[in-house]
Amino acid sequence: MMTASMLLVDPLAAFFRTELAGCRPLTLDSTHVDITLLPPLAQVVVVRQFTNTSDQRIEAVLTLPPLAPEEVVFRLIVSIGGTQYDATPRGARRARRDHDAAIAEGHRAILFELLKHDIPIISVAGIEPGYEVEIQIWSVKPLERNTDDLALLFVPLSARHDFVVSGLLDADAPVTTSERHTATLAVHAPDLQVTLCGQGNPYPITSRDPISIDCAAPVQLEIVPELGGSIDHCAWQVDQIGGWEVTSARGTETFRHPMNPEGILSSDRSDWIFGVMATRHGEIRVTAPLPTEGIAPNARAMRAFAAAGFRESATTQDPEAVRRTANILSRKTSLAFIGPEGELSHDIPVMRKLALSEMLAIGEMGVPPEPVGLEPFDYETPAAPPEPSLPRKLDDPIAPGARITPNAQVPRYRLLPWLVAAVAMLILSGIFQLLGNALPPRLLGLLVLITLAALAALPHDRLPIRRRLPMLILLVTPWIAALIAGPLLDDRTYGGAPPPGWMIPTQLGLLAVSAVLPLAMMPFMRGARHFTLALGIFNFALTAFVTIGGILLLTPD
Amino acid sequence: MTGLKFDDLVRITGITPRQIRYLIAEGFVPSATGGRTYATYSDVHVTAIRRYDRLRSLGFPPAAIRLLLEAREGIPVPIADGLTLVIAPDLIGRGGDVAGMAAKAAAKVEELLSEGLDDDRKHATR
Repeated sequence: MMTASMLLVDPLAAFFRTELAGCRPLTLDSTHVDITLLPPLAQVVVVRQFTNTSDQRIEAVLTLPPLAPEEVVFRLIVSIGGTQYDATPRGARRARRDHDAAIAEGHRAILFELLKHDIPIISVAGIEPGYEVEIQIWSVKPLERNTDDLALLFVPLSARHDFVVSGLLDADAPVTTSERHTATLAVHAPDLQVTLCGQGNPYPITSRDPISIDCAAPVQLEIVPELGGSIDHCAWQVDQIGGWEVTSARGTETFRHPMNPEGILSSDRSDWIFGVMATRHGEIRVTAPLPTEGIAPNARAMRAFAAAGFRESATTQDPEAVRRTANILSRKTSLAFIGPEGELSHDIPVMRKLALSEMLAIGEMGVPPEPVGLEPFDYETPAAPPEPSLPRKLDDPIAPGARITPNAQVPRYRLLPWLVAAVAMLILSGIFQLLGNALPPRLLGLLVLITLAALAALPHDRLPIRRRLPMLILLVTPWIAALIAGPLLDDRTYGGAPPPGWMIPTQLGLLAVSAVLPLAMMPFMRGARHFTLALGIFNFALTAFVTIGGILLLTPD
Repeated sequence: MTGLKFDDLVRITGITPRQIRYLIAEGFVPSATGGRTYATYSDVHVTAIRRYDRLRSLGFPPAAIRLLLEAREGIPVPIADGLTLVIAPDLIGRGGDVAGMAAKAAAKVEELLSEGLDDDRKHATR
């Protein structure tokens, strides 16, 4: 019989085959770039949209071009099928571990992390077929300064097809496509003259209306000040709570604080933090508000930059806590959203790489399309940020991770808890009858009350805990058995006679069972492990109470 | 090895979970058996991951690895000037009697490349 090992024909033949292609990457539907110039900084929001065109639940992975020097990413908002998620900072290792675990469990999960060489990578898992996804990345970065009266801003939207980073795993490597998609740009630049370059002939930007751009070419802006404008300094109500100030030239900073005693503005505000970042063109100094509420426009960006170079604050602050509050992405801290437990898809999502546009080679950039002004359209620019918060859903048409197939699993055995409670009561009554004593009415009443309270506190039908309820009931058996097999319910106390020899070992054995049982059940309690552990500890405490009480009764000496 | 969980696969191979998900999605490694709830892996998955890892470390790009594995003509591995070893894809990363096969390969190379025939073969030739 011929085996695969014998099929050695021509070792080079495989390289000449062209029909074998890999899994095609997903492509972007559109990209929108929104830039707010806050000299000497710029706030850049890049919004990328794509659709899961496959027929499977997927994990989309997008590797982006490296961050610019001193660029600070401070916000990630992902919208999946209309449900919006804000990612929050977590320790990088823990975030990746939680993200991997959530994917394995079928939950919705989002992770934005920095790889080596400051290459950002985003993984969005749990995208149902046909769902549209929008990824908003907010960052702030210094303007390039080659001369005193000219500043430059460079925003790459594409990557070279041969962009290779040594040591990067294939799953993390960037992927490009020659396919183009719609791209637009909007620039907000008060008191500044801005010219778009690198997209054909230089194009003056005179309004905030979006213009079309080529997604394969980077955005390059040339910025010069108008009369009264500055590319060294920017401020917004710096003397008031929530205000900010940024400067790249010493002497123009106005807010007075210990590191700038020459400032002319004094204030009793207690919310400010101060940071200094060293760039290639000198220091940039920022005073910004730390709180998340009641801050001025663009203060989030300023807070991120100040937190990245944190030096001092009005009240004592831990630098790590400041960076966490500012939601900063770094090699140590990733931005993540991990979906809650719930009804899950049966399948683990299939990973699909998301491709950036292939960057045009210099020779191909001879006649790029001329940027054109667009009619105002209903695209909602992300300039007005919603209030910051912990991970949250602004809309919830479908619960994260929810099963949406037509054959959604309806919880079975709705009456099971009542049935089990009734059977338990009958058995308890029967045991008392067998012992020759009727169940005391007060104890009966107490047990009924406990049962009703327990049933009222049962978890929601759709939670995994509810599905595991039949097994969870096992947890209460040790202490019930300890109660029945012990002296606590026996008012005879053996009249001074020695108790049965089996009683104390049985009690101790049941105590051991109550300790081991929750651990033994763990492998079978997927989705309800925390609850099982808590209930197990509670039952162990009850059994210990019954056991110790029983032993004290049996051995009064 | 059978009945491995995903975490076991990560620990045994030393590859990141994302890279394993990528290899499964790209077809370099077969999917788990048993769906999400009871997803299990085995020797087959471990071998497939190791095979991909070895071939990458030899410098083959993913597209070339795909071609080689699907075409099954064998993986050419340069040994020395004018000498290329061709290995069946199934053997890479599988383990087994590696030392025995290496000895046979070495003997064959020596037989083919040495200057003269050895005594036994000389006798046989006569």
